[in-house]
Amino acid sequence: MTYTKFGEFMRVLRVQHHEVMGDVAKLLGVSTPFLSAVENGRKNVPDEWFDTIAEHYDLSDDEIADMKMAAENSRNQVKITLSKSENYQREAALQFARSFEGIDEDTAKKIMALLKRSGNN
Amino acid sequence: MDYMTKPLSRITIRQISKYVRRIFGLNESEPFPVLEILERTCIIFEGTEFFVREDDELPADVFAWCYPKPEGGFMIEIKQTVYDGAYYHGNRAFLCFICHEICHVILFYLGYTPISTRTLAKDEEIPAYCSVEWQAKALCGELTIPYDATVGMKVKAIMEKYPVTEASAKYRVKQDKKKK
Repeated sequence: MTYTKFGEFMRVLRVQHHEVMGDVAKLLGVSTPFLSAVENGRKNVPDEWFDTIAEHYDLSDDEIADMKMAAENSRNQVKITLSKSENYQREAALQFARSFEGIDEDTAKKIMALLKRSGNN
Repeated sequence: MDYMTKPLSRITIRQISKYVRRIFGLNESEPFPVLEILERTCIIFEGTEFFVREDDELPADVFAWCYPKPEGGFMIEIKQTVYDGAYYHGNRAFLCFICHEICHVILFYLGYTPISTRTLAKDEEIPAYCSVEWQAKALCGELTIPYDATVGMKVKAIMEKYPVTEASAKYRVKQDKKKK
């Protein structure tokens, strides 16, 4: 378990504004363990947080982009919409999802590079 | 659980506390803002993180704890009751528990690491000045009630200026009496 990019982003914001985790939990209307779990990568960053955080800290467009990028890098779950997919597409997607956990970082990077090269990422 | 470390006297801990205040940009007499310092500890002491846990995620007899991470740095885990009690109600004992864990991180970085992890025999005791727990407790006391700024102060006055427990304030006053 390690602190995420989003967690780091939020911590720096808090320190700059002399705030603490409790202030942000109150601002977002969530419990401190929930916010902590998001910052530590146990849970994904809810999309509806972005506007509230941007408004509260008066973030510039660049900073908002940085926040969203940090949140994206911190994701530990992805949602795939399969409702309009063919059966074989669903099967392939689930196959990937099932095998993802067993792949080490090096292998994953190589697969990603191959996918990129083939234009199928 | 306690561990033995390099010896450290109360006087040296007092000196260290002054440097720690300087590291966090505090003067020698202002209150120690524990929750803000918790955030900044994670920036200043690289690799250190904290995690507020649901109460049932930590053992019943643990309020907060701190342990070294395999990749370096420390993880401070705090029960929700403790963090929220400190944040929403300024609970003095809870602020002290959190500060105590911060002190473990600081002392570890300064080299006061456990030098023996063996279990102590039943009748064996670690001398206070060599105890990881005593050192963290003492540093916590010095940070939350700065010694020089509180010379001659009464318990009530200390508690009005600093968010500490009555027991801590009484202990500080007792140190003045001992000196006389």
